[in-house]
Amino acid sequence: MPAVYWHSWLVVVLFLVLGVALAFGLLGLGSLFRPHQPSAAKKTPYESGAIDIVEAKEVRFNVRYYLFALMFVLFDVETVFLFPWAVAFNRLHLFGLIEAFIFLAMLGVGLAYAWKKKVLRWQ
Amino acid sequence: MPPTLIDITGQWQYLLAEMVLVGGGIVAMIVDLLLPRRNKSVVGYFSLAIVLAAITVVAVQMGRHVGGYLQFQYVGATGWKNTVVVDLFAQLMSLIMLVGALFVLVMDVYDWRGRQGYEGESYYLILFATTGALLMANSADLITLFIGMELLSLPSYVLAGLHRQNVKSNEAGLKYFLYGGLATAAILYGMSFLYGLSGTTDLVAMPSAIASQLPNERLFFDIAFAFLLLGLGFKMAVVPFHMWAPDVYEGAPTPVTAYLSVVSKVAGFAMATRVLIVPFLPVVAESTTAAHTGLPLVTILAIVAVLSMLGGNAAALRQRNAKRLFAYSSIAQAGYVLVGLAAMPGQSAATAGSMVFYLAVYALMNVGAFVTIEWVTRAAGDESLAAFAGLGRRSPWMAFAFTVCLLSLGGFPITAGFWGKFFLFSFAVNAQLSWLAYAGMVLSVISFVYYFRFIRQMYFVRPATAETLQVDAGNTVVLALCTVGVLFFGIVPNVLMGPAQAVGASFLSMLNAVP
Repeated sequence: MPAVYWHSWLVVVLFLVLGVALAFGLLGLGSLFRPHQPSAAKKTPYESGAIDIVEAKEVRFNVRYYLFALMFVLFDVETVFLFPWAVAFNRLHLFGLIEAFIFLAMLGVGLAYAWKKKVLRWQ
Repeated sequence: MPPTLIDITGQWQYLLAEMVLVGGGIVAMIVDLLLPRRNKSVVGYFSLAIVLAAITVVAVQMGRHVGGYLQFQYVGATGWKNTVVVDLFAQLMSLIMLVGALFVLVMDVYDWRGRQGYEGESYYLILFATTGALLMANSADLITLFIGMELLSLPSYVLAGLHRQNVKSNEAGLKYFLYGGLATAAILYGMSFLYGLSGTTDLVAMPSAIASQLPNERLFFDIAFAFLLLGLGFKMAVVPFHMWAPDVYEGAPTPVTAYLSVVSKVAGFAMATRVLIVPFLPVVAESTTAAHTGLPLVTILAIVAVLSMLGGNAAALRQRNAKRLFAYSSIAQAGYVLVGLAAMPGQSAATAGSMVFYLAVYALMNVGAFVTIEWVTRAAGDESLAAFAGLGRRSPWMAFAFTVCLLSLGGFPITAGFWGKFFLFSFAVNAQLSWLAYAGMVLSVISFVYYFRFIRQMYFVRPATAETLQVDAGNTVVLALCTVGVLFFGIVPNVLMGPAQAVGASFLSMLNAVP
């Protein structure tokens, strides 16, 4: 391997080391200065101010959330691809417009499928 | 007018078959959503028409000698990048896969009769998967190849688990997904090495780029080869990467099993030719020189071939479940084709032709066998060998067709399977791999033992019921076409071997860059 090849990986190693060092370093630094007064209330899991009614390890989610998350990904990815299209719109012209609408139509078919299969209905 | 970001040559006709399949698939999906539950077979007939249209497109393009590259370039860059190649190899492979998909769809329409569930999905998922399979044979670029592979794989995982009420089908879907994901990761990792070494994803430019890098970087080529072989070995289901195949073949709906064992496997071999053989030809050429220090790549392929033939045939001997038995049988069949792959670096043109010949014949005889398995096991409600008892008396024509397919799978003379093996093994001898050819001949004799078990059941065992087995028109036509094809190509193999030989020449045009 040419030396240049390995040098380009040096940046990755640098980021790795810096990332780890920064996280642990700052936490360690904080523990030197902050007050340390634990109490029972502070040790409970944070639930938006509400009192937790079950043990944290027993919290269960309805499996239907999975489908909603999947539907969210549909729109999420759509946005990811629409942003660069919008930015480059002036250079892509009609070709880009048609391409984007083909893309949207395909996602639309996916949405229609989910709708028809009653994914959007909470039963 | 400001320049566009990407410039394309406008040769969209090279993707016409794929566009027909994808467009048809999307329309089928919308139609399926609008249809009431009891009329879903309409989607099946529509999908059949779409596949027929795609077959027509490929056949017409072959008739007109259409061939070339779909290319693009970034504005400001110099030189075109290839994405899709249409050569005779791609066209013949596409035809094999499309005909396989057509037959599977006919099976599928009747498989869903009297069943509840995801009928419409099964039809258009086959269309989408077949698009991916075609792209795998057509691609001239690693990225296109990878997208094609994913487009084949993802619908296949769903198809395997489509009988949701059946525990074994669920198991098949999940197992196929997990193993397949691992294989995909391995292939992508291997591809990343190829890209890192050659600096291009373009498969046409790759061999020459690799030849220039070769002397310094041999170790990394071996790593790339190992990962690609690992991943593609999973996809082609060859020993020692075959563990998923029996469970998935047994659990999946029978038409899907036929699809996996025919279309997916042919696509796997098309991809292996594009990515496991072509880029590595300079590497293999270097291995013949005295100075090389790397792995013996051809020998490794040959060893995998022997292991597949041995493992598949030996394990099939112990099976009593027809679908599991055919899973092992198709592992052994993949081993025979691997003999062709191993001989390819030595005898590129001729061996590519014999491989295409064998895959075409394999598609016919395996689909024929699966049509019979589907009808017999469904009628008996039993997937064991005993379900075939007395088929010779219950429906003599079906038993005859099945016998022809079985004899051809074993490689009996005057069937097409015999000529397929003959060509594969004789080119292996030409490529100085005669030990591999002898191993193949000896091991394929073993296969007769378990193929004859079916024949013994059909003709020499008293049936449990005397009633004849009624087969619908569509499946009768498919079974008849497969049988006639196997017999026809067995008597006049030149009809198919002629075009298949031309494949080798067209295939070499992609290798012009190889020193």
